[in-house]
Amino acid sequence: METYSFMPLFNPAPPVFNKPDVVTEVRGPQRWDTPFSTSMSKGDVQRLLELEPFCSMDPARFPANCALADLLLNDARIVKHRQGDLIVREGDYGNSAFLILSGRVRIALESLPGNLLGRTDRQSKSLIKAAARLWNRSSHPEQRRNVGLASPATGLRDEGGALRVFLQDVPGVLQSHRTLTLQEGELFGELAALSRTPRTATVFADGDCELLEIRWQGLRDICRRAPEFKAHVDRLYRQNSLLAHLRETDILHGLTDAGLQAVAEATEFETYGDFEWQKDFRKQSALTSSELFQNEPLIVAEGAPFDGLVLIRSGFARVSHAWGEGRQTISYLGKGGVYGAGELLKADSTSHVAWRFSLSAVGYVDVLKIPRALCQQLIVPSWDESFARSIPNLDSLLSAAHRGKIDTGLLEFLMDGRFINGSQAMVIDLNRCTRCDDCVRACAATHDGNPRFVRQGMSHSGMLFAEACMHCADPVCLIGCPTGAIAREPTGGQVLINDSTCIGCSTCANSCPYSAIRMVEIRDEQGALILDEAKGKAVLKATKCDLCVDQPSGPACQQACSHDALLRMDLRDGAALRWFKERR
Amino acid sequence: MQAIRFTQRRLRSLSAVMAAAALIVLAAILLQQSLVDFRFPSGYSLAGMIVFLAAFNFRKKLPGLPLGSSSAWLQMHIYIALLSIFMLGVHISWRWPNGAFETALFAVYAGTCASGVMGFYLTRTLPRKLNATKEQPFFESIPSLLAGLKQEARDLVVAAAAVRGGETLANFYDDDGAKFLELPRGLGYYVYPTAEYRRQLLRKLADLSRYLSPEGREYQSRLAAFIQRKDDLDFHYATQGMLKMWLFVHIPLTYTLLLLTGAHGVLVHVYRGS
Repeated sequence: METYSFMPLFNPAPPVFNKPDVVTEVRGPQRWDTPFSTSMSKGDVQRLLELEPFCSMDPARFPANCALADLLLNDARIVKHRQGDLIVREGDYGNSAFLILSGRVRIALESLPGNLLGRTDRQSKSLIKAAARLWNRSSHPEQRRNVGLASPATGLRDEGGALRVFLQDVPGVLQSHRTLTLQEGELFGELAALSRTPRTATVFADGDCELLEIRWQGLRDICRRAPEFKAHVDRLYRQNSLLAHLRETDILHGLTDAGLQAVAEATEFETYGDFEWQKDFRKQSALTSSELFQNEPLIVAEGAPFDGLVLIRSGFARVSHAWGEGRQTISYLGKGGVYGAGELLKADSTSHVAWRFSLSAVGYVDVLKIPRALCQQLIVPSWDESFARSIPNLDSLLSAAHRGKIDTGLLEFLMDGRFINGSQAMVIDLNRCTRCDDCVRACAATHDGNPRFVRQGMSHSGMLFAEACMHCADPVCLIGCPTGAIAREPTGGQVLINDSTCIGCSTCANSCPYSAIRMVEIRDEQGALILDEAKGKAVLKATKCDLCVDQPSGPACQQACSHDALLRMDLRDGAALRWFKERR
Repeated sequence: MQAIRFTQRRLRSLSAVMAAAALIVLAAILLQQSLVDFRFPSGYSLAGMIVFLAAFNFRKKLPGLPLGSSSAWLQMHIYIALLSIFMLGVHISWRWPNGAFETALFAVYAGTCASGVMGFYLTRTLPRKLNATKEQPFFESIPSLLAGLKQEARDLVVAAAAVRGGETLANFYDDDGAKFLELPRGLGYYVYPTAEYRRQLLRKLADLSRYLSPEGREYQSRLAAFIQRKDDLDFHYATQGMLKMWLFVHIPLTYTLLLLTGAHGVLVHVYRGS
């Protein structure tokens, strides 16, 4: 067969016609154009300012354009709950904290069953059931046999336009689970809101109560301006999870308990980037790589004095250096990543060492900083020789990047497209894919005739990153689900939607930066659309890849690919990606 | 994570096939020394292999069941097919078949093997060529993309005709461009797609530059891009079609082979005594 050449003879760019210089002046978007709630009044704010902890805060610390009263007016709202209302669920990704204004709430000290939280307890299908499903396929797309809340343990009601899921049997829950009561004036949910980590416990209303919900932006600003409030949050973090995080950090493995405690005491918490990066992500797709980089807040700057280790607590950070007229990405770090070990090796107590590369926040990053002096005093002496040897040499890393040994183009593609978020991304080797669509057919066959992904998406280096749920490390789709229908599996980590508790609000689909969640109109067994009797519109459900979590075979798409072209992989694992790309 | 390179896998599998072939030869020698007619055990083994090879198609129709990955099945399919050629040689004592039924059975087996080899070659070479194009369309969407392109090209030429010197482009379109952009390719292209036609056409179009105004050249560039895109879409249609069509030869031959193998087994047992 003749070699197929695709060299264009002409520039295929469309003609450019000169346009007159017309300038339109508009008022730029302002921070509080969209307040958290429109129902907050100045009277409400006045009442809040008289309560703890706000009455103890020094108003002078807040600048005029970010006054405490304005923060409360625009970044907070008063919400009312009734007996049994679920306020936060364990495992949810929340972006707000709660202050109890009146009444009381209960924190479940042990995990509540999935059916109480709007989730289903998934079980893998038996072989017979899996086989029977192939012959019992629905005759209509998106057909549902049962619609409505599947669990009789919970109910759904409307509270002034906001949906509330409530526990039907609060006494039963209290009898069978240990709980802790929180009273008026107490704050909860602030750690999950500030550190973008899953809620660690379920909280529900114990009788009528009134709460002040503060969204993360307001909470962050209060932390910045009110040292006593920040100290309170930091203390909680130190008490609850910092030691566990430090213990899991490889670089600190040689420290004794006392050493870890000393590190925990000295560690500083910092947050960079936009907590809700996904909101602007699609708009940013038009920006060039260097423009994207300019928008990324610097955590450490290349050339600045080395001041200690940086540990990534959540989110992603880009390691880059100045190269030519732009910046070259060398590597990236995710949760648990450590930056600065190379510099630390070079440093002694007196010498000046500069950061070799810049570290910048991609989206949102939460970091821990361990001061240099403590690193030199405690951490470096705890390393054995083999561990010190395993730390990458910065010079050879730089040289490898310059000599093309690191595919920096692919790295930048993964960073700019935020594919590094994917823990189970669907990657297709286009040099092996025969376009047979066996993967799509297998997906449809295992999901009642409805494929849960599209074999298209962005591609780089001959690899297609298909529009299938990547089961992200930072699952922004989980934020704001009113019923908890979308959640992460506690064991496998898959992000799953409970079809029976999904109310079709599209919050998750709008949040997903990768277009991996699709809203579908559901049908009954006769193929007719199921309508919401109150709205008169078709009932919508959010659908996406569930990684065939209930199939005995695992992901059907991967199993169905005869040509080794499709693989579900963790894109944070550079070695796996390199193997996939180079396996010849 | 399967951390094995394809070359390593190929070497392992080929070694396994050679070891199995050596075992078959050893078994044949031992059985013949024991005065056992080796044609029966080799025939049963061969029939078993053919059934297993045909079962791959059923495996593909049963997704979600823990039957092993399709990739593992394909690897076994390839190497057992290879072994089956050797087994057939041993079974018929490396002679040409005779008699109408035996010849037909052999011809169908050979056809199935040949179509499989062709399919293997196509599936391993064409994806790389498909990937070389800028656009990666779905096979089913290509006809509608071509229809849209045809309309866009027409609109472009009409707009080009209105600018100074633009009638040159209209003439080009009328004489050569329309045939390429509006009609499907000839049958030969679907068997052996080449870029020669596109190259000729782009050369002709490039030669028109000297007659065009700067604005006309902008239209010329856009028309060239349309020609390029049409060629890419045709290439995808022909190539993706080929990747699907070879199975329409291989699978019917497989079923025919299964039927003839069954019939061969019955006949052999019926006439065994004679």
